Amino acid sequence: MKRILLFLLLFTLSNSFVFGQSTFKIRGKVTDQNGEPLIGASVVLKSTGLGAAADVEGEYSFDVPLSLAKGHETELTASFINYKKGVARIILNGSEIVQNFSLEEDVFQNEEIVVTGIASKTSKSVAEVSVARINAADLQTINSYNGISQIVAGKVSGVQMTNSSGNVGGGWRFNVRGGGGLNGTGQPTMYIDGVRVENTEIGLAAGGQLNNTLSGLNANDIDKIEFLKGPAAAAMYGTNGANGVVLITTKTGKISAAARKGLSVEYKFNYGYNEQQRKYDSDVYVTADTANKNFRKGPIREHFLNIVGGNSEVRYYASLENRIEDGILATNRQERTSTRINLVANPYNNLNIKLNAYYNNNKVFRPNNDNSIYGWLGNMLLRYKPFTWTSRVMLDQAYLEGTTNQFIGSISANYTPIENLEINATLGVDNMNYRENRFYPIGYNALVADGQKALYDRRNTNQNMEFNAAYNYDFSDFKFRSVIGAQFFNRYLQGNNVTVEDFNSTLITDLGSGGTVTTWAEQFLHAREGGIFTEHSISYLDQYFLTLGLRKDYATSIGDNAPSITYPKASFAVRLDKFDFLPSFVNLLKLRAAYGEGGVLPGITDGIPLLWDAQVGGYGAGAAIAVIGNDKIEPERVKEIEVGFDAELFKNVSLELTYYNTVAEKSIVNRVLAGSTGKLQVSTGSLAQPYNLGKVTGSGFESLLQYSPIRGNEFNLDLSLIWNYQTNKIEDLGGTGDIINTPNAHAVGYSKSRFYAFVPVAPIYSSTTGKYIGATLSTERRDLGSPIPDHSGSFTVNFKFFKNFNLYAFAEWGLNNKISNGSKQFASRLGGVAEVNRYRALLGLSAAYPGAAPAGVVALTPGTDEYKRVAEEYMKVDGLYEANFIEDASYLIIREVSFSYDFTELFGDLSLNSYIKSVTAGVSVRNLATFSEYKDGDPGVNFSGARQNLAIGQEFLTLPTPRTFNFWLRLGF
Amino acid sequence: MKRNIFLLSIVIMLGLFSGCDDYINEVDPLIDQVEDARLTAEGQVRFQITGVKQGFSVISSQIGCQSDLLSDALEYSNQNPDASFPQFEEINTGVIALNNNSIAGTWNSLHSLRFMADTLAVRVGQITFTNAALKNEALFTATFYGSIARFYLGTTFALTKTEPGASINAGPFIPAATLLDDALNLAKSSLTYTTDAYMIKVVNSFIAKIYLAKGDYANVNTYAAKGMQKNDADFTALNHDASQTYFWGFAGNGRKQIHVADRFGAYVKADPKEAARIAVKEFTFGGATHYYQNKYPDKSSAYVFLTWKENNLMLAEASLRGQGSGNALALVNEVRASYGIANLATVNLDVLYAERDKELFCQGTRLIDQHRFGKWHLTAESWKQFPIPQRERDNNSNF
Repeated sequence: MKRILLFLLLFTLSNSFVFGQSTFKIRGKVTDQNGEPLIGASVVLKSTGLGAAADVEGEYSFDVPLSLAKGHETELTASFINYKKGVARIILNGSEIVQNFSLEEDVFQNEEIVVTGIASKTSKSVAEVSVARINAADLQTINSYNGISQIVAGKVSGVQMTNSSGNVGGGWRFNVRGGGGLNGTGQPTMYIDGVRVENTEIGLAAGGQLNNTLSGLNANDIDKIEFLKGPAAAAMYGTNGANGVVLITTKTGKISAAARKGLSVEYKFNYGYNEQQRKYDSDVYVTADTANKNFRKGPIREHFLNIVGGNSEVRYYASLENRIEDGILATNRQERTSTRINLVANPYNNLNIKLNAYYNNNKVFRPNNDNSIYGWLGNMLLRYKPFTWTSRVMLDQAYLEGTTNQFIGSISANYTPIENLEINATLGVDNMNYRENRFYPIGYNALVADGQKALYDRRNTNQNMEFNAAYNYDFSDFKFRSVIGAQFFNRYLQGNNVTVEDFNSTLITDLGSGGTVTTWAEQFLHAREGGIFTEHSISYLDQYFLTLGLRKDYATSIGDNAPSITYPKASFAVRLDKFDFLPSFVNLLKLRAAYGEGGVLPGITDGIPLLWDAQVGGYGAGAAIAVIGNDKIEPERVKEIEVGFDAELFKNVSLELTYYNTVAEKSIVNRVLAGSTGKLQVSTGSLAQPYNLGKVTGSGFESLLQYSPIRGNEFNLDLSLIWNYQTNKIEDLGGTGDIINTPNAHAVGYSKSRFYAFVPVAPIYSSTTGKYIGATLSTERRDLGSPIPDHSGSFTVNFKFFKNFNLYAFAEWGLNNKISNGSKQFASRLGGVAEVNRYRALLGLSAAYPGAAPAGVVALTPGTDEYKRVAEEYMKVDGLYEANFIEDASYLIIREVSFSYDFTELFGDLSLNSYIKSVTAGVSVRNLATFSEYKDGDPGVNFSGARQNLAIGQEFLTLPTPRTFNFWLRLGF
Repeated sequence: MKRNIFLLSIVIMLGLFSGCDDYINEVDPLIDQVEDARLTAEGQVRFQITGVKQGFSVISSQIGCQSDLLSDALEYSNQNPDASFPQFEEINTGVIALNNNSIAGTWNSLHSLRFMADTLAVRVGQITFTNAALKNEALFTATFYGSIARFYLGTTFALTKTEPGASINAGPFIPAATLLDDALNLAKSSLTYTTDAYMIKVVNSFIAKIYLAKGDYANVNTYAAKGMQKNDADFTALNHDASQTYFWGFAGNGRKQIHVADRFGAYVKADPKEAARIAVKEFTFGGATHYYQNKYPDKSSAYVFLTWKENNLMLAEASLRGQGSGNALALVNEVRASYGIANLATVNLDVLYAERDKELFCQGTRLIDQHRFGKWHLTAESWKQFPIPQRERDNNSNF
C-alpha cells in the first residue's frame, strides 16, 4: 500500500503543472438556438484538459500555451446540461481563435455525458451498454423526496425499489434485473461522489426491521443517480459489480444567472404528513377498527438551505437541512440534520480538484413491529381483543432510538500532465458512528415486566482509493483510449452491545440502574479488497465502437489464501443513423452489445470450516460453534450478456430496449444443514453452511419509451413508459436438494426465493369424535408463485402549462407476484380472523380466544355431509398451513402526483425580483392509491428487512407504507 | 512518447500487482472467534468442557418444559393472556406441524450438545496431555453428556406417530431403543473416567433412568442401588441471567405462556405440605384460577435433572415390578418424609405413578411415565413424541 502511494506521489510530482509561459487565446460565446446565453456551459479543447465555463453573458475565454500550436486541426467542444454537444474543428496556429456555439436542445439527454463503466464516461448516443440515469435535481423542482428510495422507485428500467416497511427511516431494497446470482444480498455496490458507502441495515433485534445506513442522506443534495445494471457494464468493478453499481452524484457549484457576485441562495420549506394508506378490513380482522384508529397523521417538516456559486476557478455548493418526519405510528420518527460542502477548484488549466464533505446527525425512532408480543400491529390485529399482551400506554412508552453521526467525504483530482493523458484519483471515506438505545419501561409486558434497556454502539469506517490513467490518441479515422486503474477498499468495523433488566424506579433508566445484565457482546471486523483493471477502446469514424477490458481482484479472506479472480469484458456499438440508408426522421439509432463477468466473494470467514466463540452461562464461558464455513468455497461468478438499441425519432420520440441474459455459476448459498449435524451456530441460531451450489440463469428485457408531443415555452408535455420483464431459474443445486426457508425456497427448476410449500389436500377427522383435526398435506411441496413480479414498470406524465404550472404524475405496477400473509396466518390462530372464528364454531372446535366464537352459530354434527363440506372449506384457511396464506399481490400504485407553480414571473411583475429571484410552490401526494388483490398492507414489504437472500415477500406484522402529502415552497435569493 | 507511456503503464501495473497482495493481507485478526484447529490444545480443554456443560444447561430445561407440555403435566391455553405461541398449542394438543419452530429449536440445540460432546471426545485423542486428571475430566464430560443427549433423542423424538427415534449427523433414522442403548454404553464408559464419588452415584442413577425408559427393571434396580443416596445434593443444570432457564422464560415468572395442570394446585390445596415439592403460584384467566410453576423462580434457577428422591422412586418401582429387594413403601415414604409429608400406608404401581407425578414435578419425566404406564391422555392420532422437524427431513438425504 505504502509503495503504491509513494509511486503515485513521485509520478505526480515528476510532471509540472504549467506547460509554458507564452499563450494565445481561444474565446467565444455559447448560446441556445434562440440566442439566449447558456451560462456555465463548458468549453473544452480536446485532449488537453484546457477549457473554460461560459459567464453570465455566455462568453468564455481561455489561454492555450504556444507550445500546443502545431498548426494541426483539433476539436473544441461546448457542452451544457440538456443541450446537445457542439463540436467545432479548429486549427491551432498560435493566433487568437473566436469560436461561437449555438446548441440544440437535447430533449432526451442522449448527448449528456453519463457513466458507462468504472473509468468511462460518454454520451448515451455512443454508449456500448444500457445507460440509466435519474436526474434527481430536475425531479426535485417538481416534487419533494425524503431519500434515495423515493427518488429511485419506478424511475429506471430494469430496476425496482421496494421498501421493507412503512417505517420512516426504514429499509429499502433494489431489485436489479432479477438480482444476478444467488448469493449475497443481491444489492448493488453504491458510491456517493466516489465514496464506496456502506449500504446495509443495522440495529438491535426488535422484529425484523433495522435501520438503513443511508437513511441519513439528504435527498435534496442529490444531483443525479446513475446505474450500471449488471456485469455487462460493471465488469471492471470486479467482485463488486455482480449486482450492478449505483453511482450517486451530489450537486456542485455553478455560475448562476440570478447570482449576485456569483452567489445564489435557495431556501426550501416543506410541510407534509404521512397517513395510513389502506385501512385494515374489518371483514377480515376482528379488531381492524381499533387498529385503524391507532394510526395517526405524522407531520413532516423540512427546512433546506443551499448556497451555490463560483467563478471559473472555484465553484461551491453548500447546504444545510433539518428534517423531522413522523410516521403513522406514535413511536416512529426521524430527525435529521445534515450539512454539505462541495467544492470544485481549477487551480491550473490542467488540474481539476473536487472536495465533497457531508455530515449528518440522523435520529430514527423505529416503531416496534414485526413481532406479535412487543409490537403495535401484533397487539392490534392478532387477537380477538386488542392490546392484550402489551397495553397501548406501554407501547407508547417504549422506544428504539438509533442515532447516527456520519461523515461521507471524498477528494478527487483530474489531472492532464501531458497532452492526451488524463489521470483520475479519488480518496473516499464513509465514517459512521451509530448508537442505538432500546428501552422497555417497567411493566411493559410479561416478557420484560421489570423493564429492559439495551445499548448498541457501532463504528464503521469504509475507506476507498481509486486511481486510473487514460491515454487517448488518434490514428487516421480511428480513436483509441487505453485505461489502467486500481481500486482499494478498507473496512473496519467495531461494535458492542449490552442489555440490562430489572429496574426498580421508573424515574431512573440509565444502564447502571438495571439490576441484571443479560447480554453483552462485542463485534469486530477488518477486511480489505483490491483490484486492478485495464480497458481499451477503439472507435472508427464515430460510427463503430469497441471496448475490451480485464480486471484482477484480490480480497481478504481470513484463514485461507486470498481469492484472486480475473474478470473480462467486451462491448460493441454501431451508429446506424450515420449511414445513409435510414430515413431522415431517425435522429439516432444505435445497436449495442456487451458482455461482462462479475463475481461475489464468499463471506470473510466462509473459507474456514469451523469457528468457535464463547458463550456465557451458569458454568462460565464455554466454547460454542460460531460459524460453519467450507474450505472448498470459491467466489460466485456471474456472466452477463446484453444487447439492445437506443433510438430517437422525429426529435420527439425516444426508445430504448435491452435484452439481457445472465448465468451465475458456482453460486454461493448458505445451505441449511440438517439439525442432526449438531452444527448449530449458537449465537445466531443459524444452521447454514456456504456451498458453491450450482447454477442460476436469468433473462429479461427492459424498455423505456419517451414521447414529447408538445415542446415549447408555454406548454410542455413529456410522457414516458417503462416496461420490464424478468425471469430466472435455478438450474442446478449440485444435487444437494432444495434450499428452504419456509415458505420461500430456492428450488431446482423454479425462480429464486419461490413460495414453495406443502398444501393441505384433505381433512382428517378424529377417530373418536369425528371432528376436524387437521389436514393431510400434499406429498411434495407445490409451486405457489414468486415474491418478485415478472412484469413491472411505470408510466409517467409531466405536463407544463401556461408556462408556470406543472403537473407530474406517475404510476408503478408489478404483475404475478405473491406475498406470504403471515399476519393473517397468525391472527387466524389467535382468534383475530372473523371467518376462521365462524368456521371453528361450525366445526365444534374450541374458540381460538375467549369470546372469539361468534354468537348464534350452531355447531354442525360431525360426520354429516354438511360438516365435511365446511371442514373442506376450513382446511383452506386453517392457520396451521402457510400455503393457505400465499396471496396474489400484483399491484398498481399511483406512486407520485404533484402540482407546482412557478411564481417568479408574477413576482417580477410586482417588482419584487430585486429581493427574491425565484419562487416555486407545489403540493404532492405519494402513494395516492394502491390497487391490489392483497388487501392487508403494502405488497412490497418484508418483515425480516430488506437485505434477505431467501426470505423475501413475507409480511408479518409489518407496517404498511403510508400515503404522504407534501407542500413545499422554494425561494431563490 | 507513446513508448514511454506504455513502459510507465507496465511499471504501474507491476507495482499494483504486488501491492494488492500485501494490502489485502494486512488486516487485524478476529477477536471474537477462533479456528477449530487452535482448540486442539490442552490449554483450551477447560473452555470446551465448559461449553459442553453450557449446552446441557440450554437443552435440559427446554426439553423438560416442552415434553411436560406434550404430557398431561403442563397446559397451554389461548385464554391465557400471556400465551402467544401457537406452536405451544400444537405441542399441548399433540396436533403438531412438522415445521413447529419451537421443536425445531429444541432439536437443533440438543444436537448441538451431542456434537460438542462427541467433538470433545475426538479432540482429546488428538492432544498429548500433561495433566491426566484434565484428560479424564474431558473424557468424562464427553461421554456423560453425550449419553444425556442420546437419552433425550431416544425419549423425545419420533419419525412417525408410532416410530420413536431420531437421526444423528444427517444419517439414517435410528430407532429409540438403539439410541437408548448408545446412551447406556456412553454412560457406562463415563464411569471409567471419574473417581468422584458423587458423580459416580449420579451416573449410576442416570443409567437406571435410561433402563427405566427401556422398561428393563432388573437393571433399573442394579444401577439405582449404586445410585444417589439420601441427602445427596440434586444434580442440576446451572443457569445464569444471560442464559435463562426455559421454565422461567416460558412457563414461569418470566412469562406464563405455559401453566401447570390444575391437579397440581389441587395437590397443594389437599395437603399444603406438598407445596415444598410442588412449587406453584396462582393466577387467573378465562374466569378461573390456574397455577404456574414456581420451582424455577428466577432466570438463573438451576434446572433439576436428577435427585436421590428420583433414585428412591426408581428402586421402589423396580421392587413393585418384582426386581430387587427394596422396600417400596419405605423408599417412597423416605422421599415424602424429606418434605415433612405424611407417610403412605400402602404403595402399588398406581400410587407410585401418582407419587412420581408429584415428586418429579417440572423435571421432564412425565411424558416417559405416561408411555411406560400406558396412560396416554390425548387422541390416538396425536403425536406422542415430537416429530423430527421438517428442516431435518428436508436437509437430511436419508428422509
